[in-house]
Amino acid sequence: MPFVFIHGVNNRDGEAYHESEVGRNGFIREVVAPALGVDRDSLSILSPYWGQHGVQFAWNMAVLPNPDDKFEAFGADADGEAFGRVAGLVAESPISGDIVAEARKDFPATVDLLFASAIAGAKSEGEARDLSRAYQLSASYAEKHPHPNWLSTATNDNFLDQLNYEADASSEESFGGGGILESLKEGLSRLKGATADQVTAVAGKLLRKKLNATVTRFAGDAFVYLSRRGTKEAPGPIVATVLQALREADQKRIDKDDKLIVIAHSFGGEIMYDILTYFAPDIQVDCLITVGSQVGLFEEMKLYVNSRPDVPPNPPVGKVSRPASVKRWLNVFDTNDILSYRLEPVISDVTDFFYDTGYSSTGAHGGYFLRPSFYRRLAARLSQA
Amino acid sequence: MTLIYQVEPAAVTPGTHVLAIAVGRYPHLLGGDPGALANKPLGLKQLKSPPVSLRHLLDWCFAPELHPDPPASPGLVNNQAPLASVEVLVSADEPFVAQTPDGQCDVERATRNNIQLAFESWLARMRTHPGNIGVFYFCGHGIMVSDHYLLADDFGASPAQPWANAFDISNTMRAAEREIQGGMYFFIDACREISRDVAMTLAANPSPLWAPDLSKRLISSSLTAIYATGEGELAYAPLGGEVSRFTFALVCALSGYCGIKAPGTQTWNVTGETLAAAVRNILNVEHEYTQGKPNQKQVSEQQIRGEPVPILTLSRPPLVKVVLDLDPVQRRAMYDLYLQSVLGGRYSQSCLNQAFRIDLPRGFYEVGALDPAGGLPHVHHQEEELIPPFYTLTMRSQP
Repeated sequence: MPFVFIHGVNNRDGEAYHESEVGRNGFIREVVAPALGVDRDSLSILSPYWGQHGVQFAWNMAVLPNPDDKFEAFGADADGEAFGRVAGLVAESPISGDIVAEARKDFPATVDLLFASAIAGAKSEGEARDLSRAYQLSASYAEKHPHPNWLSTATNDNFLDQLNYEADASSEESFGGGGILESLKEGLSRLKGATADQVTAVAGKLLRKKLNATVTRFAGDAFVYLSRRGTKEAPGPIVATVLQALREADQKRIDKDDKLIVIAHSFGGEIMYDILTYFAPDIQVDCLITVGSQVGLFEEMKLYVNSRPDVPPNPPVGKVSRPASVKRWLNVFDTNDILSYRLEPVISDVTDFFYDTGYSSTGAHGGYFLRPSFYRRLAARLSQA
Repeated sequence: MTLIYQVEPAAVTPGTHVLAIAVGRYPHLLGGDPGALANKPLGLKQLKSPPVSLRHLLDWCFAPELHPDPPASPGLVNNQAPLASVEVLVSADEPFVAQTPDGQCDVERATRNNIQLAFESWLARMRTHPGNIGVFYFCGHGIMVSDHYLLADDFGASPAQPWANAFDISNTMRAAEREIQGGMYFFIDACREISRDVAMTLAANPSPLWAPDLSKRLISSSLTAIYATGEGELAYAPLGGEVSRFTFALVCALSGYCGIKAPGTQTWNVTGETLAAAVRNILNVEHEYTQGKPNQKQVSEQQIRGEPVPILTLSRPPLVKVVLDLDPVQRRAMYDLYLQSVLGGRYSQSCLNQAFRIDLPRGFYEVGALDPAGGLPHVHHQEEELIPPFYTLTMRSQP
C-alpha cells in the first residue's frame, strides 16, 4: 500500500526535517499501517518535499519588528536539533526533572512524553520503528496499570528499566538489555536536560521568537503557492512536486494491496484539495487524512482553483461535495491549534476528529506528529469502519 | 566452588579441565528478589536459559560415560588430553543438581566470590601439566565498554559500587595466556551490548579474575575464544527455558559435526578454527530455519591465537546435516529427493511433501530430484561436496 505524506508550510530541508520524517515513518509503519490492515514492512511511504519552492525572503525577514526573531536552534548538529524539539515539548508540557514524580501523577502522559523525547532523536527508521513498537506496549501497559505497585519504590535511575521490563513482550530471551532501553535513556537524558529551569526559559523564548517568524513564513509559503500554483497544463513547482509523488504512489498499488492513503499536514491539505479538484481529479485516494489543516477555511474564502462562489447555493445549510475520487476523509484538528480548522461544516461526507495535542496555541500546530499518542488514536479511528 | 568431577591422579598426563558457569538468577536485577532491585539494573532481567544451556553442555561432556550405548554424541573425547576435571557454578531459580558419571552433585551459586575461587582453582589444575587443555564456559548476562564484562549472581548488590560483582573476561583471558602453558578454549554465551550507564561511570570497570602481568610473556600454546555474538550485539535464547542459540550451535558443532582428518590417521581433530567456523555456520542456518527476525540475527565472533591444539580428537569422520528441498513446494510430493555418494550408497526420500533431512559423512555426492512417474524433469547436481556442519540446497523443478 502506498502512503503519501504531504507536509505543510514552514518546512525546510535539514536535520530537523529529516528526523521528523524518520520518527513519523516509524509510527506510520508500526501503529497506523496495522490499523488499515496493511503489511508494515512492504508499506511504501513517499514524502514529497516542496519546501525549496516555498517563499524566499530577499532581506531575510529584516521586516520583522525584532530582526533577531528568526530561527534558533540549540545546536547545529542532530543532537542539538533533537534537544531543541524536546525543549519545545517540555515547554508545552511543563514537567519537573523528577520523572518518577511525574509518572506517579500521570503515568500514561509521562510514557507519551518519554517516547516523544526518545523518538525526537531517532537516527534511523529502524530505530524509530523499534521505539514505536515499544511505545505501543508501554502505552497499553500504562493504560491498564495507571498506578503500578513498582512505581512507589522506583527511582529516577531504574524507572525506565522497570517500565521496559513490565511492558516487554519479547519473543526471545536476550542476555542483555536491548537497544530500546538505551534509546529511551537518551530520551530521558534529553528530557531531564530540557527541564532545567534555565533551559526551559530558553525554550519558552525560542517558541515566542519562532511564532513571529513562523506566521511570516506560513503566510509567505501560502502566498507563493497561490500565486504560482500554475494550471493543469503547466502546474507550478509545488504542485508538480506533490503530483509526481502521488503518481508514483499510484503506480505502486499492487493487486493484494491496492489502497492509496494520503496524510496532509497543514497547508499540505490545501495543496491536496487543489490537486483532487482541479490538477488531477483522476487520482483515486482511498483515505485522505488532513491534520491541522485549513482546507475548510480556504473553501470558505473560495481560494481554490475550482472554487465557485455559487457552490453551494445555500450556505451555511448546503455544503460542497467531497471530491468523488476520495473514498474516505478524516480531518484532525486541535482547538488549541490556531491554524487548524474544522471541515464538516463546509464539505459533505467528511469526519472531523478532535485531538488534544496538549500544547498551547503557539505549539499545537506542529505538535501532532511529535506525540506518539497521536498515531495511536489515529490508528484507533482509522480501524473503525 | 563445586568440583563435580575429577580423575585421580591428576598431573601425570595431560587432561582437559572444564570450568562452566551459568547465571540465570540475578537477585538484584529486574524480576529478582522483592525490594532488592539495583539502582541501575541496565535493563537486565532474570534468565531461564543459562542453567538449561549449561546442563546441555554437561550432557555433552559426560556423554561417553552417561550415555555409552550407543553414545548420543561423541562427547568430550580427546585422546591427547582426556576429560580430567569439571567444575561448575550455577545460579538458577531452583538449586542446581548436576548429573555426573559418579552420581548427582549439588552445585553452588555463581556469585562473584565463588567465581573467583573456582577460577583460581581451575588455573591451579591447569598448571599441573603443560599439555593440559582448559575449557571455560559462561552463560549469562554480559555487557561491554572497552572490554567485555560478565555478570555474577550478586551483580548490583551494592549501590556504592554498582558494577562490582562482575568480572572482566577480556583481561582475564590476557592473564590466563601468561599464567598457563596449555591450550585454552573460552566459550562466552553472553551479550556484548555497550552499556551507556557503565561507560558514564568513572573508575568503575569490573576487575578481571586474574590481573594480567604484562611483564610476563605469553606462554599458553593456544587460545580460542568464541563469543556468542558480535561487539555491541545481543545473544538470544528461545523463551521458556530452552538451550540458548549459541550453546545449541556450540554443542552441535562439538557433537561430531566438524573436524579435519589428521594425515595418515583415523583421527579427526576439532581445533579452534574448525569449531568457530562450524558454530557460525550452525547459528546462521538455524536462524534461517527458525525464521528468526532479521534484527535478531546472531553472528558469533572468535579470537584465535597460537598452535592448533585440538579440543576433540574424533575417531569417526564428522557428519554433515543435509537439508534438501524442492521449489516449487507443490512438486515436493511428486519427486524422490536423493544423494548418491561417489563411494557408493544412495540415500533418498520418496514423494513426501517435506524437506529431506539426513546426516551423512562428508564427501562428494550426486544430489538430485527424480520423478518416479517420469513426467517431470530430472534435476541433478554432480559432485556436490558436503562439508560439515551443514549442506542445504533447494533444487528448482522447471518448467
